[in-house]
Amino acid sequence: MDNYQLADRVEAWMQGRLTTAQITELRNAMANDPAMAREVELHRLTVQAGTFLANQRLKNNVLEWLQRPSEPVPATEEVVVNAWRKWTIIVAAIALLLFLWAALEYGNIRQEQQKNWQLEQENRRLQELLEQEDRVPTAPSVPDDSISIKPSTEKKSGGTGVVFSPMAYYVPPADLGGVLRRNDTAPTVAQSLDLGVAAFKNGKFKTAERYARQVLTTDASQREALRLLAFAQFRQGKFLEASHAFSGLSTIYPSKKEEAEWHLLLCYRALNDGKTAYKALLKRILANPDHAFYANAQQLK
Amino acid sequence: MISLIRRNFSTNPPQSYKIQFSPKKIPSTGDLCAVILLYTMISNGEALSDQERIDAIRQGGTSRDGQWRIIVLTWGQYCCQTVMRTTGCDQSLAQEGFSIAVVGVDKRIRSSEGYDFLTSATLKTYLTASSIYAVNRLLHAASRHIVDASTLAEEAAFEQVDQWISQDACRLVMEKALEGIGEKSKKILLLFNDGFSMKEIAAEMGFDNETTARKEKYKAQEKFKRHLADNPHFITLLKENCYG
Repeated sequence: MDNYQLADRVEAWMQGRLTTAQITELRNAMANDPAMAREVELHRLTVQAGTFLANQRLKNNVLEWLQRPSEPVPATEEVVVNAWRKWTIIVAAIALLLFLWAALEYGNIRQEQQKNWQLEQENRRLQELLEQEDRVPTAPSVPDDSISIKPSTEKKSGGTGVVFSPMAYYVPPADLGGVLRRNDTAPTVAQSLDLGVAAFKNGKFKTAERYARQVLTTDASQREALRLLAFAQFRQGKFLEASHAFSGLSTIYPSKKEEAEWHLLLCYRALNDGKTAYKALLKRILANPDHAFYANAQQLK
Repeated sequence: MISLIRRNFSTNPPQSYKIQFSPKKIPSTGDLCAVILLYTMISNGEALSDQERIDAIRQGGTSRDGQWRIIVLTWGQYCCQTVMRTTGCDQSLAQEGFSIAVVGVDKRIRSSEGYDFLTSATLKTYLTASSIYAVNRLLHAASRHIVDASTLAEEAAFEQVDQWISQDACRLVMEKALEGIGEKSKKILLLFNDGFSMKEIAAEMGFDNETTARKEKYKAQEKFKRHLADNPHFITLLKENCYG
């Protein structure tokens, strides 16, 4: 072991970096070699001298720094480290928040998507049901009017809590737009009414309603337009508006009064509102066996 | 409070997007937690923790010097005033006590158990307690343990203070002994023991490279050893005063 190695070994010993076995080995070597023991002793004192110098310097520095309390804290690596850390943390926190927000939004979107999908499926199912009901041929209840009626399947089932379907009792108007009153020759009125009737027959009830309103705007006394409006609204499921139209129709169009009353009754029933009015109207129809819709009303009884 | 972009799906797949502003929306628990988290993270980033300060000191060299300078400039006045208030000493004695405490704490930090006192107190508290102890020891040099150490860590720190105060004679002899080796060798020994790396020593002393610095270090050590060998009374005195 040369002097350099010995110096390193002694320094390691004094700094506590030697294992017990290494210390024992060094001690044995010192015991067997007095010259080495002396060298180790001298080196220990040398290391101690260095420690003394370092401590003395630190102490002097502290006293010097304390004499200058007004000196600002130096912008050393601490400040730099802090700045870096601060901005890194801010960026990380923002990224974390964005991630959480995105995750939440994604969850909401998925939920909403699912809900919409279910609603759409439900709508489709209902639409198919309605179309199916429309396609079922209806039996004439009154011989001279070619009006048919198809009681709803729900009704037949007789279960409680079954949703009432007015379309099942709906009677298509036989001669819609047939008779025009005076001023009927006005080209816009006749044309609009024809277009409305055609749209109605093609199942475009919204268009039919628009044409009916157009006619009524021009000439509010047009009963056929009001009739078209009432049926178009009825077929769209706008039972409240349709009830108003049918109500007016039953007053101003005597020949179609019974038809209007029947559909008004269906509107009342569909709205599940004004039970008194519904019962009164039903009672009135049932009280008159000559009523064109007497048989239909019997089924609602 | 915040604007939220919500996607409005009328059908599947999505067809439209719209932005809804909800200024009256009550912040949710999640929002509050996020704000608190953010504030905590940022406020914690304002200063180095004790652990990081200790790490910097343990690195030695310029890092250690810089860290102690920051600590002294930041906490020095507070510690000295606390010492003066507690012990009734004057400012110079308080500063002396604080400087001794710094040396003791530095030694403790650089030992293998450097972190242990952080479990019971902050570095600042530890420094203040050590300063008070040092001043009491200076005021009543004959008696030891005037302030009872409440933890083992404090006990260890007070031991360092005791050691420093009891080694006055050792330091005097050491100072005399070191006078014989010249300023350059003293500085090399100092830098080496201050934890400067060979690279830093080379830069500080103007050596070509680290190998030269290492050789110069050995040369300085050898010089001191030969000086001691030539003056055996120093060895005797150092042994008596430094090793008890």
